[in-house]
Amino acid sequence: MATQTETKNNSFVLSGVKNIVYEDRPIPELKEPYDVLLQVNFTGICGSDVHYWQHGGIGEFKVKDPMVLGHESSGTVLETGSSVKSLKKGDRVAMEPGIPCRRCIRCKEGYYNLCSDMRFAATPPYDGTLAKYYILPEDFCYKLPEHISLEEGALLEPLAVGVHITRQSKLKHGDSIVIFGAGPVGILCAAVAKSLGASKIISVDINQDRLDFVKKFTAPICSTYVSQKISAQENAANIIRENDLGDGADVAIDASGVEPSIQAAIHVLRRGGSYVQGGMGRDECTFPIMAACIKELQISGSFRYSQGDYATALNLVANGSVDVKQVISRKVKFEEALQAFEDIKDGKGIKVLIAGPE
Amino acid sequence: MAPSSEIQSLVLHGAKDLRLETRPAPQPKPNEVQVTIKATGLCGSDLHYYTHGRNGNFVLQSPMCLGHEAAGVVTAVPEQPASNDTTITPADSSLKVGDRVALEVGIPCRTCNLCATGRYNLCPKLSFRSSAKTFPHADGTLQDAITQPANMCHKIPESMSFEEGALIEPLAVCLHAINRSQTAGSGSGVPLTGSTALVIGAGAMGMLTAAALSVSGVTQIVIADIDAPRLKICEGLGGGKFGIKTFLIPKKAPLPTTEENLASATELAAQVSAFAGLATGFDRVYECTGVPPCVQLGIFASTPGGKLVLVGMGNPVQTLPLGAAALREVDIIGVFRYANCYPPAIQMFASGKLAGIADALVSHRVPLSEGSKAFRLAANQAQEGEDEGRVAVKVMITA
Repeated sequence: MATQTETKNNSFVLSGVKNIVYEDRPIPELKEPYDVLLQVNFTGICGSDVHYWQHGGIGEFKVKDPMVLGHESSGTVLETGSSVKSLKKGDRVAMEPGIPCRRCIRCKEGYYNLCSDMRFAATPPYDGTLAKYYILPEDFCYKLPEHISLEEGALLEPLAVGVHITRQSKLKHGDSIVIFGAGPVGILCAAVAKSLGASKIISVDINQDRLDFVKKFTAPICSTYVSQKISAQENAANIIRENDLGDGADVAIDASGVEPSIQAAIHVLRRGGSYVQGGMGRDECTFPIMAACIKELQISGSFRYSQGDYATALNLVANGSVDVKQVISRKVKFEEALQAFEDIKDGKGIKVLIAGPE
Repeated sequence: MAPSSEIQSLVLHGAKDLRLETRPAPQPKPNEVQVTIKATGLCGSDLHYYTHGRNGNFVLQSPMCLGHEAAGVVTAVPEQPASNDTTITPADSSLKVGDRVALEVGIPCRTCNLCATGRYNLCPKLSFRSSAKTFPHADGTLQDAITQPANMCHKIPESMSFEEGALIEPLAVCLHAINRSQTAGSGSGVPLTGSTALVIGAGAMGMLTAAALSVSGVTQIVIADIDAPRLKICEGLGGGKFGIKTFLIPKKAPLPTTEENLASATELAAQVSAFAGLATGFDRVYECTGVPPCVQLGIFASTPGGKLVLVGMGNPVQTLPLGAAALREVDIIGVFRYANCYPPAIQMFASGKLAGIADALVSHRVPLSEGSKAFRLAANQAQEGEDEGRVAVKVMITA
């Protein structure tokens, strides 16, 4: 591995299943008039990064060629294209790492997250942000106010995911919500739900430490439930009874991807309730379709984030509604990036940040 | 508290003719409860009846008690068992003597299409206390006690005062307006969180709307009025943590032509938007005055694709720049009272997020026996010294 002083654009590359190498990639160049060249300062690690590392693919996306990992980043502006007006050298930004084509029907309809030609960092074949430099268009860079750190800026990506999932659920002020899975996404969904005025938030997991964290993080509104090895209906009935949910919860989000949680979520909802599949797990599962039908549930998927979600996430951090600093378990140097991956793979900590190469 | 056999009622016989009368205490029928009223806030519609003997097209046809923004305590439950006739008053036997409640005083028919699709506020047969719209008139809550269907009495927690309970009704109007600003018109618009809103009119409605918007996650709220003391109250709402910015509209006489007035409204809209740092206007505008130049301002101050909610009831016929709304797809949304908003309104107070609001808004408290004074205060026609030096925002008759 070349040392820092010798490399121009040190990059953390997945070269095969469970095989990481550091490569000195060429420094990217501004191509379009709205392009911005950024120095990456911090990158958080997501379950998808770990999954690509361990399995070489997620669903249909398979890593064929070596690919730079990472997509949850913040950076500093180094150079701007000729048409860039809102950013200048030295500005600190949160980086929205997926560039849509802007021309397909989904983009023009207003659902750019569903773009058929989306170029998303660290989804094959597009390189991610675990490098020294990265290029993004101006409108995918969100300038951080003075009082928000670059570390917090790197948390805007998962927070935007939480915002998008909660928007999909149509949660309104006063609603009750049950969130299955207390990983980073579940935790951030709870924080967003709190900011939207949910009257009751119940976080469900098998891991007591994570439940303790989310309860503290969203105090005083959140209560918790430890899933038991009983039927999904029984777990759901327990949650309803212990939290006085009446006919059932207004909203349920699955942020776990696991079948028993998905089933319990359907059973914990009231008639007319709303369910969002945020968590990613196995492609197919046994699903209580009759409960969904008879209770006339609104069922939605949720994929990344779309127009307004990053801005909303930034607002939530900037006005103090969500203190993302608490979610950062530790920071590691770029050379120690693999440690961050090991931590997350072993379920240690919530969000580990990797500092950019110096 | 044992209910007495007689009560006092403040009865309107004609414009400015309020009389305190003694009546037998009403006894609850099956599915009803008797509620002793502890606080009633006065509303613009009450003032119209008091001042003119009419509210727009609704003319007082017989003596009627005013008041509909009320909270109280259950003092008697029916002796007869609850009836099975649920078409008019669904059975609810969970209320007991001593329960503290906020009163939703509009009783819908529950069987028409509007009721069945969740818009019971628009039910043509809805009977609303203190309104002369239907005859015979249903007496309002400016009485010692009334009887009310049990399921239209919403329990309030011990942590809420009766004055806060009496603010539930106007807060429900605000929440209905906020709901409609998300569901009516062309889709839901931008999510509330992180959005921008302009409230025009810093009366009790405007203040409550601004507070509710803040609690619902709207991050930029500007409230505009011609009256500086009311704006000062807004700045202090929620101990200042609602972050409501205020804009003083210069008081101007109307100009000679429509074109000049619209140009003036356009200019004012640009100033308010610039004040908020917004290039194209506000995501949502809540017009809480009903005054035509303010409604015009509301249209110009909306961003393209935005929403303008007409909360204030003013002249029913107005000259408006319709093109400026239609050609920018600004949805103009009407609202009428509320539907299913009492529970979230109570929840908003119970959460503590509106702590201090009642103290800020309730400017004067008057007993029922001095009811005329309350109306004079609310109508800005107080006699010498009656207002104790405070601007009248929400006047309440309290027991």
